[in-house]
Amino acid sequence: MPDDAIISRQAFDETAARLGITGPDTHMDELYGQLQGVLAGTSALRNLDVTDTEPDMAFIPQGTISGH
Amino acid sequence: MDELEICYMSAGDLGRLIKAGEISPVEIIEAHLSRIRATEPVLNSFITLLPDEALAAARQAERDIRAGRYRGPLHGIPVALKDLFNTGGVRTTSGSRIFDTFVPAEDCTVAARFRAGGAILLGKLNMHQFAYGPTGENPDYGHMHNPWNPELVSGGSSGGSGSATAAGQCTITTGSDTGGSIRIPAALCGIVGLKPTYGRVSRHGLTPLAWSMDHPGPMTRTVEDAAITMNVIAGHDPRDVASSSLPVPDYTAALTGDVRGLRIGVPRQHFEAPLDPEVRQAVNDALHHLESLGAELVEVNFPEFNNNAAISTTMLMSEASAALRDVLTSDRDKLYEPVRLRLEAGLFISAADYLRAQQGRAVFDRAARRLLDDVDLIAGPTEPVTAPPLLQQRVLAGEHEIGTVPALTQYTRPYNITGFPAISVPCGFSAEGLPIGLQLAGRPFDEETVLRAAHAYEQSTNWHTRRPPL
Repeated sequence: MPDDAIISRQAFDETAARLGITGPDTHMDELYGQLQGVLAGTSALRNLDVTDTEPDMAFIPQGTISGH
Repeated sequence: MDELEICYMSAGDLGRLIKAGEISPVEIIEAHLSRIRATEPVLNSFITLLPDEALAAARQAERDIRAGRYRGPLHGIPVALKDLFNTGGVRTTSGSRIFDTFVPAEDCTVAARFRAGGAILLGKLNMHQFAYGPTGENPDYGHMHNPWNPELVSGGSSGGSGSATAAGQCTITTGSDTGGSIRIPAALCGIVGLKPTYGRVSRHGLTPLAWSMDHPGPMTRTVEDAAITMNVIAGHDPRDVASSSLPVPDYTAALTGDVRGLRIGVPRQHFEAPLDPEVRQAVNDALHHLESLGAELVEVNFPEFNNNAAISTTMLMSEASAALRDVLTSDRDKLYEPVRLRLEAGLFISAADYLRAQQGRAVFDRAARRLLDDVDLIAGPTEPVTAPPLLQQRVLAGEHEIGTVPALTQYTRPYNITGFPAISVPCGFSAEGLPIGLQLAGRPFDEETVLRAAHAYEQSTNWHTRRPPL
Protein backbone atom coordinates (compact mmCIF):
# COMPACT_ATOMS: atom_id res chain seq x y z
CA MET A 1 0.00 0.00 0.00
CA PRO A 2 1.58 3.31 -1.02
CA ASP A 3 2.32 5.73 1.79
CA ASP A 4 0.30 8.50 0.14
CA ALA A 5 -2.86 6.32 0.27
CA ILE A 6 -3.04 6.63 4.04
CA ILE A 7 -4.26 9.87 5.47
CA SER A 8 -2.32 11.14 8.48
CA ARG A 9 -4.21 11.78 11.69
CA GLN A 10 -3.50 15.47 11.42
CA ALA A 11 -4.82 15.63 7.85
CA PHE A 12 -7.83 13.54 8.90
CA ASP A 13 -8.64 15.88 11.78
CA GLU A 14 -8.32 18.95 9.56
CA THR A 15 -10.45 17.46 6.80
CA ALA A 16 -13.08 16.22 9.25
CA ALA A 17 -13.34 19.72 10.70
CA ARG A 18 -13.80 21.21 7.23
CA LEU A 19 -16.51 18.62 6.48
CA GLY A 20 -18.29 19.41 9.73
CA ILE A 21 -17.68 15.93 11.14
CA THR A 22 -17.47 15.99 14.89
CA GLY A 23 -17.96 13.48 17.68
CA PRO A 24 -16.46 11.95 20.77
CA ASP A 25 -12.84 10.80 20.55
CA THR A 26 -13.95 7.16 20.37
CA HIS A 27 -16.10 7.92 17.33
CA MET A 28 -13.36 9.89 15.60
CA ASP A 29 -10.85 7.12 16.32
CA GLU A 30 -13.22 4.56 14.80
CA LEU A 31 -13.82 6.72 11.74
CA TYR A 32 -10.11 7.28 11.29
CA GLY A 33 -9.52 3.52 11.43
CA GLN A 34 -12.28 2.73 8.93
CA LEU A 35 -11.08 5.41 6.59
CA GLN A 36 -7.74 3.68 6.17
CA GLY A 37 -9.52 0.70 4.58
CA VAL A 38 -11.66 2.92 2.39
CA LEU A 39 -8.69 4.86 1.11
CA ALA A 40 -6.75 1.66 0.53
CA GLY A 41 -9.57 0.67 -1.84
CA THR A 42 -9.48 3.96 -3.71
CA SER A 43 -5.72 3.62 -3.90
CA ALA A 44 -6.13 0.22 -5.58
CA LEU A 45 -8.25 1.90 -8.24
CA ARG A 46 -5.28 4.01 -9.26
CA ASN A 47 -3.52 0.83 -10.38
CA LEU A 48 -6.26 -0.05 -12.88
CA ASP A 49 -5.50 0.43 -16.54
CA VAL A 50 -8.16 2.87 -17.67
CA THR A 51 -6.36 4.11 -20.76
CA ASP A 52 -8.75 5.78 -23.21
CA THR A 53 -11.69 5.07 -20.93
CA GLU A 54 -14.08 7.84 -20.06
CA PRO A 55 -15.96 7.58 -16.77
CA ASP A 56 -19.57 6.48 -16.85
CA MET A 57 -20.97 9.75 -15.55
CA ALA A 58 -24.31 8.13 -14.88
CA PHE A 59 -24.81 4.50 -15.70
CA ILE A 60 -27.33 3.93 -18.45
CA PRO A 61 -27.72 0.57 -20.18
CA GLN A 62 -26.46 1.11 -23.69
CA GLY A 63 -28.98 2.45 -26.16
CA THR A 64 -32.00 1.51 -24.17
CA ILE A 65 -33.12 4.67 -22.47
CA SER A 66 -35.88 6.86 -23.71
CA GLY A 67 -34.59 10.16 -24.93
CA HIS A 68 -31.11 8.77 -25.67
CA MET B 1 -57.80 -25.18 3.57
CA ASP B 2 -55.19 -25.24 6.35
CA GLU B 3 -53.90 -21.72 7.10
CA LEU B 4 -50.24 -22.70 7.03
CA GLU B 5 -50.69 -24.33 3.62
CA ILE B 6 -52.20 -21.09 2.33
CA CYS B 7 -49.23 -19.15 3.65
CA TYR B 8 -46.75 -21.38 1.86
CA MET B 9 -48.61 -21.51 -1.44
CA SER B 10 -47.06 -19.62 -4.31
CA ALA B 11 -48.68 -16.55 -5.83
CA GLY B 12 -49.09 -18.57 -9.02
CA ASP B 13 -51.10 -21.27 -7.27
CA LEU B 14 -53.09 -18.84 -5.11
CA GLY B 15 -53.88 -16.74 -8.16
CA ARG B 16 -55.21 -19.73 -10.06
CA LEU B 17 -57.43 -20.68 -7.10
CA ILE B 18 -58.67 -17.10 -6.69
CA LYS B 19 -59.51 -16.86 -10.38
CA ALA B 20 -61.41 -20.15 -10.18
CA GLY B 21 -63.31 -18.96 -7.12
CA GLU B 22 -61.89 -21.77 -5.00
CA ILE B 23 -60.33 -19.49 -2.39
CA SER B 24 -61.16 -16.03 -1.19
CA PRO B 25 -58.70 -13.14 -0.84
CA VAL B 26 -60.18 -12.62 2.64
CA GLU B 27 -59.26 -16.19 3.62
CA ILE B 28 -55.73 -15.61 2.27
CA ILE B 29 -55.20 -12.35 4.14
CA GLU B 30 -56.62 -13.78 7.38
CA ALA B 31 -54.24 -16.75 7.12
CA HIS B 32 -51.25 -14.46 6.63
CA LEU B 33 -52.22 -12.16 9.50
CA SER B 34 -52.47 -15.21 11.72
CA ARG B 35 -49.04 -16.39 10.56
CA ILE B 36 -47.57 -12.96 11.21
CA ARG B 37 -49.02 -12.87 14.72
CA ALA B 38 -47.44 -16.25 15.44
CA THR B 39 -43.98 -15.57 14.03
CA GLU B 40 -43.38 -11.83 14.22
CA PRO B 41 -42.21 -11.84 17.86
CA VAL B 42 -39.30 -14.00 16.69
CA LEU B 43 -38.58 -12.54 13.25
CA ASN B 44 -39.34 -8.81 13.47
CA SER B 45 -39.90 -8.63 9.71
CA PHE B 46 -42.33 -5.71 9.71
CA ILE B 47 -42.02 -2.05 10.63
CA THR B 48 -45.66 -1.29 9.84
CA LEU B 49 -48.45 -3.84 9.60
CA LEU B 50 -51.75 -2.94 7.95
CA PRO B 51 -54.25 -5.59 9.12
CA ASP B 52 -57.43 -3.52 8.87
CA GLU B 53 -56.50 -1.98 5.53
CA ALA B 54 -55.48 -5.35 4.11
CA LEU B 55 -58.72 -7.02 5.19
CA ALA B 56 -60.76 -4.18 3.74
CA ALA B 57 -58.84 -4.46 0.47
CA ALA B 58 -59.38 -8.23 0.47
CA ARG B 59 -63.13 -7.81 0.88
CA GLN B 60 -63.14 -5.33 -1.99
CA ALA B 61 -61.08 -7.72 -4.12
CA GLU B 62 -63.54 -10.48 -3.37
CA ARG B 63 -66.45 -8.30 -4.45
CA ASP B 64 -64.65 -7.17 -7.61
CA ILE B 65 -63.69 -10.67 -8.68
CA ARG B 66 -67.21 -11.99 -8.09
CA ALA B 67 -68.51 -9.11 -10.18
CA GLY B 68 -66.20 -10.04 -13.05
CA ARG B 69 -63.67 -7.27 -12.48
CA TYR B 70 -60.65 -9.59 -12.27
CA ARG B 71 -57.42 -7.63 -12.61
CA GLY B 72 -54.89 -10.40 -13.19
CA PRO B 73 -52.61 -12.89 -11.45
CA LEU B 74 -51.87 -10.65 -8.45
CA HIS B 75 -55.49 -9.77 -7.69
CA GLY B 76 -56.03 -10.67 -4.04
CA ILE B 77 -52.40 -11.70 -3.44
CA PRO B 78 -50.64 -10.37 -0.30
CA VAL B 79 -47.56 -8.26 -0.90
CA ALA B 80 -45.33 -6.31 1.45
CA LEU B 81 -42.80 -3.65 0.51
CA LYS B 82 -39.41 -2.83 1.93
CA ASP B 83 -39.87 0.33 3.93
CA LEU B 84 -38.08 2.59 1.48
CA PHE B 85 -40.77 2.16 -1.17
CA ASN B 86 -43.05 5.18 -0.75
CA THR B 87 -46.67 4.27 -0.09
CA GLY B 88 -49.33 6.96 -0.26
CA GLY B 89 -50.94 7.45 3.14
CA VAL B 90 -48.75 4.81 4.79
CA ARG B 91 -45.61 5.84 6.64
CA THR B 92 -42.31 5.07 5.00
CA THR B 93 -39.36 5.16 7.39
CA SER B 94 -36.37 4.00 5.33
CA GLY B 95 -35.58 2.01 8.44
CA SER B 96 -34.87 5.07 10.57
CA ARG B 97 -36.72 6.79 13.41
CA ILE B 98 -35.71 10.04 11.73
CA PHE B 99 -38.56 9.31 9.30
CA ASP B 100 -40.81 7.57 11.81
CA THR B 101 -43.74 9.85 11.01
CA PHE B 102 -43.07 10.46 7.31
CA VAL B 103 -46.22 9.67 5.34
CA PRO B 104 -45.77 10.04 1.55
CA ALA B 105 -48.54 11.70 -0.39
CA GLU B 106 -48.38 9.18 -3.21
CA ASP B 107 -47.25 5.67 -4.07
CA CYS B 108 -43.91 4.95 -5.66
CA THR B 109 -44.29 3.47 -9.14
CA VAL B 110 -43.83 -0.10 -7.94
CA ALA B 111 -46.50 0.28 -5.24
CA ALA B 112 -48.85 1.92 -7.73
CA ARG B 113 -48.41 -0.96 -10.16
CA PHE B 114 -49.06 -3.54 -7.45
CA ARG B 115 -52.18 -1.62 -6.47
CA ALA B 116 -53.37 -1.43 -10.09
CA GLY B 117 -52.80 -5.17 -10.38
CA GLY B 118 -55.06 -5.81 -7.40
CA ALA B 119 -52.35 -6.93 -4.99
CA ILE B 120 -53.08 -6.35 -1.30
CA LEU B 121 -50.54 -4.46 0.80
CA LEU B 122 -49.98 -6.29 4.09
CA GLY B 123 -47.41 -3.87 5.45
CA LYS B 124 -43.97 -2.32 5.25
CA LEU B 125 -40.91 -4.40 5.87
CA ASN B 126 -37.96 -3.95 8.16
CA MET B 127 -34.61 -3.19 6.61
CA HIS B 128 -31.03 -2.27 7.38
CA GLN B 129 -31.12 1.42 8.22
CA PHE B 130 -31.21 3.44 4.95
CA ALA B 131 -30.40 0.16 3.15
CA TYR B 132 -26.77 0.76 4.06
CA GLY B 133 -25.60 -2.69 5.15
CA PRO B 134 -25.91 -6.37 4.15
CA THR B 135 -26.89 -7.93 7.48
CA GLY B 136 -30.34 -6.68 8.47
CA GLU B 137 -29.32 -4.69 11.53
CA ASN B 138 -31.62 -1.99 12.77
CA PRO B 139 -31.46 -0.52 16.27
CA ASP B 140 -34.50 1.70 15.69
CA TYR B 141 -37.02 -1.00 14.81
CA GLY B 142 -35.09 -4.02 16.05
CA HIS B 143 -32.77 -6.35 14.18
CA MET B 144 -34.20 -8.82 11.69
CA HIS B 145 -33.85 -12.56 12.40
CA ASN B 146 -33.35 -15.52 10.11
CA PRO B 147 -36.30 -17.96 10.08
CA TRP B 148 -33.93 -20.92 9.84
CA ASN B 149 -32.18 -19.87 13.06
CA PRO B 150 -33.22 -16.62 14.73
CA GLU B 151 -29.74 -16.10 16.19
CA LEU B 152 -28.45 -15.57 12.67
CA VAL B 153 -28.81 -12.62 10.31
CA SER B 154 -31.57 -12.57 7.74
CA GLY B 155 -29.20 -10.72 5.43
CA GLY B 156 -29.68 -7.21 4.18
CA SER B 157 -30.44 -4.72 3.46
CA SER B 158 -33.88 -6.17 2.55
CA GLY B 159 -33.79 -8.42 5.61
CA GLY B 160 -37.47 -8.15 6.52
CA SER B 161 -38.36 -9.09 2.97
CA GLY B 162 -36.19 -12.19 3.21
CA SER B 163 -37.52 -13.36 6.55
CA ALA B 164 -41.17 -12.57 5.78
CA THR B 165 -41.11 -14.45 2.49
CA ALA B 166 -39.22 -17.45 3.82
CA ALA B 167 -41.47 -17.79 6.88
CA GLY B 168 -44.74 -17.59 4.97
CA GLN B 169 -45.67 -14.20 6.41
CA CYS B 170 -46.24 -12.84 2.93
CA THR B 171 -46.45 -14.27 -0.58
CA ILE B 172 -44.55 -11.57 -2.49
CA THR B 173 -42.18 -8.96 -1.13
CA THR B 174 -39.89 -6.40 -2.68
CA GLY B 175 -36.33 -5.40 -2.05
CA SER B 176 -33.87 -2.90 -3.40
CA ASP B 177 -30.38 -3.99 -4.38
CA THR B 178 -27.39 -1.62 -4.43
CA GLY B 179 -24.64 -4.10 -3.59
CA GLY B 180 -26.66 -7.29 -3.21
CA SER B 181 -29.55 -6.29 -0.94
CA ILE B 182 -32.12 -8.46 -2.74
CA ARG B 183 -29.89 -11.44 -3.44
CA ILE B 184 -28.11 -11.58 -0.06
CA PRO B 185 -31.24 -12.07 2.10
CA ALA B 186 -32.69 -14.32 -0.61
CA ALA B 187 -29.69 -16.64 -0.38
CA LEU B 188 -29.43 -16.55 3.41
CA CYS B 189 -33.18 -17.12 3.93
CA GLY B 190 -33.62 -19.73 1.19
CA ILE B 191 -35.86 -17.87 -1.24
CA VAL B 192 -35.71 -16.43 -4.77
CA GLY B 193 -34.46 -12.86 -5.25
CA LEU B 194 -34.24 -11.19 -8.65
CA LYS B 195 -32.26 -8.03 -9.25
CA PRO B 196 -33.56 -6.92 -12.63
CA THR B 197 -31.50 -4.99 -15.16
CA TYR B 198 -30.87 -1.38 -14.15
CA GLY B 199 -33.67 0.61 -15.77
CA ARG B 200 -36.11 -2.30 -15.99
CA VAL B 201 -38.07 -1.52 -12.79
CA SER B 202 -38.69 2.09 -11.83
CA ARG B 203 -36.84 3.60 -8.89
CA HIS B 204 -39.30 6.48 -8.69
CA GLY B 205 -40.46 6.99 -5.12
CA LEU B 206 -37.73 4.90 -3.50
CA THR B 207 -35.30 6.43 -1.01
CA PRO B 208 -31.99 6.41 -2.89
CA LEU B 209 -28.79 4.94 -1.53
CA ALA B 210 -26.61 5.10 -4.67
CA TRP B 211 -28.43 6.40 -7.73
CA SER B 212 -26.34 4.56 -10.30
CA MET B 213 -26.56 1.19 -8.55
CA ASP B 214 -30.04 1.03 -6.95
CA HIS B 215 -32.27 -1.71 -8.39
CA PRO B 216 -35.78 -2.57 -7.11
CA GLY B 217 -36.96 -6.14 -7.61
CA PRO B 218 -39.06 -9.07 -6.38
CA MET B 219 -38.37 -11.51 -3.55
CA THR B 220 -40.51 -14.65 -3.67
CA ARG B 221 -40.50 -18.35 -2.84
CA THR B 222 -40.64 -19.51 -6.45
CA VAL B 223 -39.17 -18.38 -9.75
CA GLU B 224 -42.63 -18.34 -11.31
CA ASP B 225 -43.70 -15.80 -8.68
CA ALA B 226 -40.72 -13.61 -9.53
CA ALA B 227 -41.79 -13.75 -13.19
CA ILE B 228 -45.42 -12.99 -12.35
CA THR B 229 -44.30 -10.02 -10.25
CA MET B 230 -42.03 -8.71 -12.98
CA ASN B 231 -44.96 -8.79 -15.40
CA VAL B 232 -46.67 -6.28 -13.10
CA ILE B 233 -43.87 -4.01 -11.90
CA ALA B 234 -41.47 -3.84 -14.87
CA GLY B 235 -41.70 -1.25 -17.59
CA HIS B 236 -41.01 2.29 -18.64
CA ASP B 237 -41.63 5.10 -16.18
CA PRO B 238 -41.04 8.68 -17.35
CA ARG B 239 -40.54 9.72 -13.72
CA ASP B 240 -37.33 7.68 -13.47
CA VAL B 241 -34.59 9.22 -15.63
CA ALA B 242 -32.87 5.86 -16.00
CA SER B 243 -36.01 3.94 -16.92
CA SER B 244 -35.75 1.85 -20.07
CA SER B 245 -38.29 2.16 -22.84
CA LEU B 246 -37.71 -1.38 -24.08
CA PRO B 247 -40.94 -3.40 -24.30
CA VAL B 248 -41.65 -5.74 -21.40
CA PRO B 249 -42.06 -9.38 -22.40
CA ASP B 250 -44.32 -11.90 -20.66
CA TYR B 251 -41.73 -13.30 -18.28
CA THR B 252 -43.84 -16.34 -17.43
CA ALA B 253 -43.64 -17.41 -21.08
CA ALA B 254 -39.90 -17.90 -20.60
CA LEU B 255 -40.42 -20.61 -17.98
CA THR B 256 -40.21 -23.52 -20.37
CA GLY B 257 -38.18 -25.83 -18.17
CA ASP B 258 -35.73 -26.27 -21.04
CA VAL B 259 -32.08 -25.28 -20.64
CA ARG B 260 -30.72 -27.47 -23.42
CA GLY B 261 -28.04 -25.64 -25.34
CA LEU B 262 -27.64 -22.83 -22.81
CA ARG B 263 -23.99 -21.97 -22.26
CA ILE B 264 -23.27 -21.19 -18.62
CA GLY B 265 -20.00 -19.48 -17.84
CA VAL B 266 -18.35 -20.27 -14.51
CA PRO B 267 -15.61 -17.78 -13.65
CA ARG B 268 -12.70 -19.55 -12.03
CA GLN B 269 -12.20 -16.44 -9.88
CA HIS B 270 -15.43 -17.27 -8.07
CA PHE B 271 -13.83 -20.39 -6.68
CA GLU B 272 -10.49 -18.79 -5.91
CA ALA B 273 -12.16 -16.22 -3.62
CA PRO B 274 -12.80 -17.06 0.06
CA LEU B 275 -15.54 -19.72 0.00
CA ASP B 276 -17.01 -22.09 2.55
CA PRO B 277 -16.52 -25.74 1.48
CA GLU B 278 -20.17 -26.66 1.98
CA VAL B 279 -21.25 -23.75 -0.20
CA ARG B 280 -18.65 -24.69 -2.81
CA GLN B 281 -19.99 -28.25 -2.90
CA ALA B 282 -23.64 -27.21 -3.12
CA VAL B 283 -22.96 -24.75 -5.94
CA ASN B 284 -20.83 -27.24 -7.84
CA ASP B 285 -23.59 -29.81 -7.49
CA ALA B 286 -26.12 -27.27 -8.76
CA LEU B 287 -24.00 -26.43 -11.78
CA HIS B 288 -23.61 -30.09 -12.66
CA HIS B 289 -27.34 -30.54 -12.20
CA LEU B 290 -27.91 -27.82 -14.80
CA GLU B 291 -25.44 -29.65 -17.01
CA SER B 292 -27.45 -32.84 -16.58
CA LEU B 293 -30.51 -30.91 -17.79
CA GLY B 294 -28.72 -30.07 -21.02
CA ALA B 295 -26.84 -26.85 -20.31
CA GLU B 296 -23.18 -26.57 -21.21
CA LEU B 297 -20.77 -25.47 -18.47
CA VAL B 298 -17.88 -23.33 -19.66
CA GLU B 299 -15.05 -22.30 -17.36
CA VAL B 300 -14.29 -18.66 -18.07
CA ASN B 301 -11.62 -16.21 -17.00
CA PHE B 302 -12.90 -13.04 -15.38
CA PRO B 303 -9.85 -11.37 -13.78
CA GLU B 304 -11.69 -8.06 -13.49
CA PHE B 305 -13.86 -9.77 -10.84
CA ASN B 306 -11.04 -9.09 -8.38
CA ASN B 307 -11.48 -5.32 -8.87
CA ASN B 308 -15.17 -5.27 -8.06
CA ALA B 309 -14.81 -4.37 -4.38
CA ALA B 310 -12.70 -1.27 -4.99
CA ILE B 311 -14.92 -0.03 -7.83
CA SER B 312 -18.28 -0.62 -6.20
CA THR B 313 -17.26 0.48 -2.71
CA THR B 314 -15.87 3.79 -3.98
CA MET B 315 -18.99 4.47 -6.03
CA LEU B 316 -21.40 3.34 -3.33
CA MET B 317 -19.78 5.30 -0.52
CA SER B 318 -19.51 8.47 -2.60
CA GLU B 319 -23.08 8.34 -3.87
CA ALA B 320 -24.56 7.34 -0.50
CA SER B 321 -22.81 10.20 1.28
CA ALA B 322 -24.15 12.59 -1.33
CA ALA B 323 -27.67 11.13 -1.32
CA LEU B 324 -27.96 11.14 2.48
CA ARG B 325 -25.86 14.19 3.27
CA ASP B 326 -28.82 16.22 4.52
CA VAL B 327 -29.69 13.45 6.99
CA LEU B 328 -26.08 13.25 8.06
CA THR B 329 -25.98 16.99 8.61
CA SER B 330 -29.26 17.35 10.47
CA ASP B 331 -29.56 14.07 12.39
CA ARG B 332 -26.07 12.68 12.73
CA ASP B 333 -26.64 11.52 16.30
CA LYS B 334 -29.80 9.60 15.39
CA LEU B 335 -28.05 7.38 12.88
CA TYR B 336 -26.98 3.80 13.62
CA GLU B 337 -23.28 4.12 14.39
CA PRO B 338 -22.01 1.81 11.59
CA VAL B 339 -24.22 3.64 9.07
CA ARG B 340 -23.04 7.01 10.33
CA LEU B 341 -19.40 5.92 10.04
CA ARG B 342 -19.89 4.78 6.44
CA LEU B 343 -21.64 8.01 5.50
CA GLU B 344 -18.93 10.11 7.10
CA ALA B 345 -16.11 8.09 5.54
CA GLY B 346 -17.67 8.56 2.10
CA LEU B 347 -17.23 12.32 2.41
CA PHE B 348 -13.46 11.83 2.38
CA ILE B 349 -13.46 10.24 -1.09
CA SER B 350 -12.26 12.76 -3.65
CA ALA B 351 -14.07 13.56 -6.88
CA ALA B 352 -11.00 12.32 -8.75
CA ASP B 353 -11.24 8.92 -7.07
CA TYR B 354 -14.98 8.70 -7.69
CA LEU B 355 -14.39 9.36 -11.38
CA ARG B 356 -11.56 6.85 -11.36
CA ALA B 357 -14.05 4.31 -10.05
CA GLN B 358 -16.42 5.22 -12.87
CA GLN B 359 -13.61 4.64 -15.35
CA GLY B 360 -12.99 1.30 -13.65
CA ARG B 361 -16.70 0.57 -13.97
CA ALA B 362 -16.55 1.11 -17.73
CA VAL B 363 -13.60 -1.29 -18.00
CA PHE B 364 -15.38 -3.84 -15.77
CA ASP B 365 -18.57 -3.54 -17.79
CA ARG B 366 -16.78 -4.12 -21.09
CA ALA B 367 -15.09 -7.24 -19.71
CA ALA B 368 -18.38 -8.63 -18.40
CA ARG B 369 -20.09 -7.96 -21.75
CA ARG B 370 -17.27 -9.77 -23.56
CA LEU B 371 -17.87 -12.80 -21.33
CA LEU B 372 -21.55 -12.74 -22.25
CA ASP B 373 -20.69 -12.65 -25.94
CA ASP B 374 -19.56 -16.23 -25.49
CA VAL B 375 -21.92 -17.56 -22.83
CA ASP B 376 -25.59 -16.98 -22.04
CA LEU B 377 -25.25 -16.78 -18.26
CA ILE B 378 -22.58 -16.33 -15.60
CA ALA B 379 -23.05 -18.62 -12.60
CA GLY B 380 -21.60 -19.04 -9.14
CA PRO B 381 -22.40 -18.78 -5.46
CA THR B 382 -24.60 -15.92 -4.29
CA GLU B 383 -22.84 -15.94 -0.94
CA PRO B 384 -19.50 -17.42 0.16
CA VAL B 385 -20.97 -18.48 3.52
CA THR B 386 -24.30 -19.37 5.11
CA ALA B 387 -25.98 -16.87 7.43
CA PRO B 388 -23.59 -15.64 10.14
CA PRO B 389 -24.61 -14.75 13.71
CA LEU B 390 -26.14 -11.33 14.29
CA LEU B 391 -23.62 -8.54 14.90
CA GLN B 392 -20.63 -10.80 14.20
CA GLN B 393 -17.99 -8.66 12.49
CA ARG B 394 -16.00 -11.40 10.79
CA VAL B 395 -16.79 -14.74 9.14
CA LEU B 396 -14.80 -17.82 8.24
CA ALA B 397 -15.02 -18.59 4.53
CA GLY B 398 -13.00 -21.72 3.94
CA GLU B 399 -9.51 -20.97 5.25
CA HIS B 400 -10.04 -17.20 5.19
CA GLU B 401 -11.36 -15.08 8.03
CA ILE B 402 -12.74 -11.93 6.45
CA GLY B 403 -15.04 -9.05 7.32
CA THR B 404 -18.73 -9.91 7.27
CA VAL B 405 -19.66 -6.97 5.03
CA PRO B 406 -17.10 -7.62 2.27
CA ALA B 407 -17.83 -11.36 2.47
CA LEU B 408 -21.58 -11.00 2.00
CA THR B 409 -21.17 -8.68 -0.99
CA GLN B 410 -18.24 -10.28 -2.80
CA TYR B 411 -20.30 -12.13 -5.42
CA THR B 412 -23.24 -9.74 -5.67
CA ARG B 413 -21.50 -6.38 -6.25
CA PRO B 414 -20.34 -7.12 -9.81
CA TYR B 415 -23.88 -6.94 -11.16
CA ASN B 416 -24.56 -3.64 -9.45
CA ILE B 417 -21.53 -2.31 -11.29
CA THR B 418 -22.76 -3.63 -14.65
CA GLY B 419 -26.50 -3.39 -14.05
CA PHE B 420 -27.00 -6.90 -15.49
CA PRO B 421 -29.92 -9.00 -14.24
CA ALA B 422 -29.02 -11.54 -11.55
CA ILE B 423 -31.05 -14.00 -9.54
CA SER B 424 -30.44 -16.04 -6.42
CA VAL B 425 -32.24 -19.38 -6.30
CA PRO B 426 -32.02 -21.95 -3.46
CA CYS B 427 -29.53 -24.71 -4.29
CA GLY B 428 -28.98 -26.63 -1.08
CA PHE B 429 -28.53 -26.60 2.67
CA SER B 430 -25.54 -26.83 4.98
CA ALA B 431 -25.17 -29.61 7.51
CA GLU B 432 -26.63 -27.18 10.05
CA GLY B 433 -29.71 -26.81 7.89
CA LEU B 434 -28.96 -23.33 6.55
CA PRO B 435 -29.89 -22.33 2.99
CA ILE B 436 -27.39 -21.83 0.17
CA GLY B 437 -28.03 -19.79 -2.98
CA LEU B 438 -26.96 -20.16 -6.61
CA GLN B 439 -26.51 -16.89 -8.51
CA LEU B 440 -27.22 -16.68 -12.24
CA ALA B 441 -26.53 -13.43 -14.12
CA GLY B 442 -27.43 -12.64 -17.71
CA ARG B 443 -27.18 -10.06 -20.45
CA PRO B 444 -28.80 -6.66 -19.98
CA PHE B 445 -32.59 -6.93 -20.32
CA ASP B 446 -32.42 -10.69 -20.73
CA GLU B 447 -34.26 -11.53 -17.52
CA GLU B 448 -36.03 -14.21 -19.54
CA THR B 449 -32.94 -16.42 -19.82
CA VAL B 450 -32.06 -15.83 -16.17
CA LEU B 451 -35.56 -16.82 -15.10
CA ARG B 452 -35.70 -19.77 -17.51
CA ALA B 453 -32.53 -21.35 -16.13
CA ALA B 454 -33.44 -20.65 -12.51
CA HIS B 455 -36.91 -22.11 -13.02
CA ALA B 456 -35.62 -25.24 -14.74
CA TYR B 457 -33.20 -25.79 -11.87
CA GLU B 458 -35.82 -25.09 -9.20
CA GLN B 459 -38.45 -27.35 -10.73
CA SER B 460 -36.06 -30.28 -11.01
CA THR B 461 -34.93 -30.00 -7.39
CA ASN B 462 -36.86 -29.73 -4.12
CA TRP B 463 -34.87 -27.13 -2.18
CA HIS B 464 -37.63 -24.55 -2.57
CA THR B 465 -40.15 -26.84 -0.88
CA ARG B 466 -38.35 -26.89 2.49
CA ARG B 467 -39.77 -24.75 5.26
CA PRO B 468 -37.98 -23.13 8.18
CA PRO B 469 -38.65 -24.68 11.61
CA LEU B 470 -41.01 -22.11 13.09
